[in-house]
Amino acid sequence: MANKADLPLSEDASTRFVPWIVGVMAYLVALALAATLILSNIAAEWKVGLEDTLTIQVPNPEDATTEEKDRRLLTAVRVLLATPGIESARPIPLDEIAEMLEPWLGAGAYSDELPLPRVIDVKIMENTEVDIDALSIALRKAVPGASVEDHVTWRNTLILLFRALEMLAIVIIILIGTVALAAILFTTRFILAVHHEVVELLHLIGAHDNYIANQFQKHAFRVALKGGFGGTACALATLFTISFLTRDLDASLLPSAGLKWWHWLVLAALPIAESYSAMLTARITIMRVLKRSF
Amino acid sequence: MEITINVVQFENIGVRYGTGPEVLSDITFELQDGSFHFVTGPSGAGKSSLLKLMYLALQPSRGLIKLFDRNAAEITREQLPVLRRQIGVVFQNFRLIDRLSTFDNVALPLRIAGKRENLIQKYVGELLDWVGLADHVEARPPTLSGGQQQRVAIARAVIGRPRLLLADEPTGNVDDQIAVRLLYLFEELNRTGTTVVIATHNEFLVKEFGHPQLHLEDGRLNTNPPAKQS
Repeated sequence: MANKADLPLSEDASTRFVPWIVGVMAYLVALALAATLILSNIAAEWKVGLEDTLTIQVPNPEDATTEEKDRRLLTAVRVLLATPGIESARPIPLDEIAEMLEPWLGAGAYSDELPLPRVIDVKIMENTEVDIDALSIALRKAVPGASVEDHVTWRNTLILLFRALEMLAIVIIILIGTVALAAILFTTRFILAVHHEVVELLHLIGAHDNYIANQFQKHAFRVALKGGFGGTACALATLFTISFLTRDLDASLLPSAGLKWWHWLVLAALPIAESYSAMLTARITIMRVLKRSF
Repeated sequence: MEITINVVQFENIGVRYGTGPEVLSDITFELQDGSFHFVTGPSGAGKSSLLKLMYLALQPSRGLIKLFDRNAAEITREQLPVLRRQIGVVFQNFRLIDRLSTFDNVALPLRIAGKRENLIQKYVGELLDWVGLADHVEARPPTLSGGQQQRVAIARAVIGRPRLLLADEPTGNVDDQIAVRLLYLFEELNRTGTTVVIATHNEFLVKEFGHPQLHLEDGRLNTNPPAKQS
């Protein structure tokens, strides 16, 4: 191992821009990775949240009395609870429905006169298939007009959309990473060309390729760590600011779009991963060039 | 019966750069372990090329080179550094690393060889003292005079106690008094068993020290060097 750097790598004015390039790349990678984690989180939440649930709508005739409405609701619940695979059926209270409608209708706008259907939240037992068609027929027979919404179509569409966005973010991460590593690769080759004479001298004095490569890879690690920490710190500040500014958004309308604690850890570890990637790139580059040219 | 090892053996060596004419032709000689030779000849005769062949910085176009009884053509890339550590070279233009101090330039071969730092401190300190650079330990090469740089280059070449020491015009930038002192250093090293080869124009030194010569003229070895002028 090299005890002391013999090559003036850190003194090269021509390579001082490299930490800045790595920093910008690290910033973009951190944001893209955060987007990937958030999208993955949303898709998973929706998948888990809606996979084992059904929503039953029980519309009421215009002239139905409150007793009649309650009776129709109760009948539907009985049919549901008698269906194999259904764990629970919870009629959503009117005040809860009013709360859900508040963002659209405004506070206090809900009244009994609104022709809204009653809604039953159904939970299906884990790993159990329910025959939705048979359930629909049974419900309509018992309570005319009742319908079953299994969320499958729009859930799948949304999940597909989020998965596509997630893939796009991953592709962006790969592209940015590739550009960053290409910058390290070309810089390493450039530095090697600049210090050709010293490298040749080290060989003549008896240095192995490994001794010389160690100096380049340590330099690449330091440069990437510097740029990586700077870029990631800026990205974390950006994410924290966005998180702060959107803290008051109504969580009932959207699934949780925030980062979990381990997401922050993954983002904080990015500079280390980037530095090791840069170090490995520099090492592979230098070993190949040394074998070919010296 | 005493067995003598040839440290350097050249057989019918020819060297050409690209498609040009041969700069060295039909070079055949042997240097025995512990010998001391001067390489002499006019400018352009091929002295530097001959030394480059010996420190494996140049490959011959033809012929056989043996170093320490090993065929140089059969030495692998992985084996080369270990072999080179047995050869100390004083380059014509010194080839010091400007950003390193005098101390670190001299310490370089030991660091490359993985020696312990406390030993490096001891050996380098002693050698710098011997070559008269004890007061310039932290100085960088650009701040030293030509003669001082040359002494740093010599110290770097001998610090690893090489089996073979090659010096290309090592006294070119110093006056005769310092040149003689440096030659004493080489002789001292030679007495400890190091084979020494010095390429020089300095006829005074060649005459003064009287070691055998490898005299080159027009790229060929002349076994009968011209009589020295006094």
